[in-house]
Amino acid sequence: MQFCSFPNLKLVITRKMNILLIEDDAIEVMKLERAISKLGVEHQLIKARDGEEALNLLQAGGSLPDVVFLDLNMPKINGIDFLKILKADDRLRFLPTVILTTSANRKDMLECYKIGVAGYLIKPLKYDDYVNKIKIALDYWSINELIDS
Amino acid sequence: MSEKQLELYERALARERAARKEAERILEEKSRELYFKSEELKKTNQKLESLVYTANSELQGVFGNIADAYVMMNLEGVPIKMNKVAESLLGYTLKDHIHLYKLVTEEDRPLVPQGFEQLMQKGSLTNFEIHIRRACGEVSYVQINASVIYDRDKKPLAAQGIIRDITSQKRNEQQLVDSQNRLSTLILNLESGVLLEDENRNIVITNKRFCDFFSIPVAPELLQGQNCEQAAEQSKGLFEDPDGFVNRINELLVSKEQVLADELAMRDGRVLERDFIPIYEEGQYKGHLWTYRDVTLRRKYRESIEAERQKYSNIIANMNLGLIEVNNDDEILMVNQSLEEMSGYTEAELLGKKGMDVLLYPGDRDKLTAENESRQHGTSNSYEIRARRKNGELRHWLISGAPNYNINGKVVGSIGIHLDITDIKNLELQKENLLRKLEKSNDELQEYAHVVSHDLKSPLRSLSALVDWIREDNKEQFDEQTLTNFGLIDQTLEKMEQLISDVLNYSSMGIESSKREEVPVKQVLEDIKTLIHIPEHIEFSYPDQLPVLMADRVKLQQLFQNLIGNAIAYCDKNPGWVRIECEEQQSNWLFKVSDNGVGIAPEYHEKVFKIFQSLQKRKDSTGVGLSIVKKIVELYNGKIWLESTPGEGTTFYFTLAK
Repeated sequence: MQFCSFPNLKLVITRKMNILLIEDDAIEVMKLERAISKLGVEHQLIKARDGEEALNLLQAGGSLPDVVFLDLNMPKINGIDFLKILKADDRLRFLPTVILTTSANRKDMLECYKIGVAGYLIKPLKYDDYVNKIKIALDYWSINELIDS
Repeated sequence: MSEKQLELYERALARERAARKEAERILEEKSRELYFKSEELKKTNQKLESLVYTANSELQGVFGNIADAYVMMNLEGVPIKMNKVAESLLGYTLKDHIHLYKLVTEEDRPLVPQGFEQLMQKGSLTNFEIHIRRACGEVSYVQINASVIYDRDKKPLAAQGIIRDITSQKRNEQQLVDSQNRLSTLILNLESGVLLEDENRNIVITNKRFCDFFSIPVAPELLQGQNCEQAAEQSKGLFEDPDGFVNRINELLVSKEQVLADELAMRDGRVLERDFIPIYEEGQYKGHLWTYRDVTLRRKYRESIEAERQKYSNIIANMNLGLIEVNNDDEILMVNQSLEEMSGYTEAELLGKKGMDVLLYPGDRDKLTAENESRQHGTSNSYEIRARRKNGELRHWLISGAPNYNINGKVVGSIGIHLDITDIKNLELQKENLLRKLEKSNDELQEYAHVVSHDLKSPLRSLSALVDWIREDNKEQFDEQTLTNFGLIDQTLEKMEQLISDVLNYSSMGIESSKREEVPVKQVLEDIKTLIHIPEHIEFSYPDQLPVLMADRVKLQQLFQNLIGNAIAYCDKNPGWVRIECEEQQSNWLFKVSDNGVGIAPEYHEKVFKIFQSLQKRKDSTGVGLSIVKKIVELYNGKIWLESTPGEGTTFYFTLAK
């Protein structure tokens, strides 16, 4: 599969976003951090090592992130369970949540869309491809109007 | 009419006849005297007319008083005198001047001259019987007794006679004769051989059948009166046990007691049944009746029925199925040996008991009751119940029950055939469990494959990212060689990634998906054309007409994609080609995927389908593709094989069930 990048395309509006990444793998966290810094937009990355930590963060009362990147395979509360909790919560249910995973398991994908996700990204092997995908997703969400909580 | 009555009747008739004869005689005498006298008087002395008249009157009184018809006629046959009875019998009076001869019916008229001649010659006619037609038209059978009246010179003057109507008497006699004839005919034609002997062993009557049985070559009528003392001795040769036959007859004749249904086996294979019936009249031995019947057929039927019965009882006793016969109250009437073994009970323990109480597992009571009910209405049925053996063990029985009818077609109970299906049932349960387990483990396996693939792929991604960063962060410091090595790391990572994907694919391919839809093969090929990269110098072609298969679309696509992908990957010619062909067979579709590529050496024709058997070490080959292809083909009950000439090309053949 090939992914196209549009290096010459400059976005008219680049909004700074607060991004919550829920990921237990340290290198994966580094990958996203590096990708964001590479894009040159000063998005702020909030990190949670698992669902439980993320929930604590979200329920602490501060302002909510603009977009959530969620890994499926995690200890304690796994991605799908976390998603269910979000969707059951009146305040958190409108958070755009994008699945970021290595698994192309059709069953998982169906389940996620059933519960309600804003996207389902499969991490490509090559880092360049990964950076491209992340850029497109962030650009997309940065031009979207979001429901403020 | 009994013989006694007949005798009485005849005796009374005889008495009456004698009395009448006497009266007739007296009458004749008197009338003759009278006639002479009157003639004399007429001729000689008319003076005495008054006297004659007186005498006449007297005579008239006599006429009037006799019960029978009296007629005096002249020699031409015209009545001169008739009494009242005669008038009413004939229906005529003197005034009618009828001619008596003319009253005789056509048929009997030839008899008249004879009678008249006899009368004139002998002077009298006795018991002359003739039919006459009365004035009313009815025909009566009459008996005439007549005499001639002579003058002194013995010259016949007239005739007088008594006419009696014997129509009814004749009719009775005829009836008696008829019934005797009927009786004889009946006896003659009886199916049984009959021999009636009197007390002296003389034949009174016998019949044709009897003569047949004993090979007597004469008509039965001719045997009447013959003595039978020696008969048994003469015909004993016809029997299997000649002396026994003779001895038994003698024994019967001595005892003079009724014996029925003695069986006699004959030499020619027939079997006779004999009755001996002594006849007593008022305590007096009057003779005896022998009756012989041919019972060969009946005996044979009985024997063959007995043989059939024996056969079926043997089958019932030896068959491996338990058999129970019950009456309408479900009480056991009969069980066979197999059922004893199945249930652990002996027949004695079961007879008279209710199967429901003894054999049935209480939980199935309602079920059995319902089945019994339906059998009452005459339907046969089969059903499964749980039975309890004598030792308490629970068994599954399959019962096939049919209503049992009596000869009047009424349901009197039922017969059930029982098969112990516990083992089968257990296997069935086992199978169900296994299937459930298999399904579960299939799911688990697939889940596991995904987890493994995820867990294996994640480090690859990390490695890829880290290598990339090192390369990026130290761009200026690496020499050419190191950069090449970094490139090789990238390739290895990619191959590893591909390998993991293929293994995951392979492991989920064998799982039969329930998803079957109509998949047009042509559309699949068109899709593949857009999915995979086909180089310019390779021509990919397929026929316009291709079948629509019932299959899982994804699997079918993978099948073709792998084969086509291989053909393209191993193409070393320019121009190269890849061709798809399809052929309809009886129950399959035969597909061919051929190319003009490198070809495969014969020793690898089997091997290529095994997992991780890649023939050329290529950077994009994992050796899983063809094993996935084989797995998919086998999933659709097909076969796959190949023909190839190394250097010239390869053709893969595979079939898919229609």
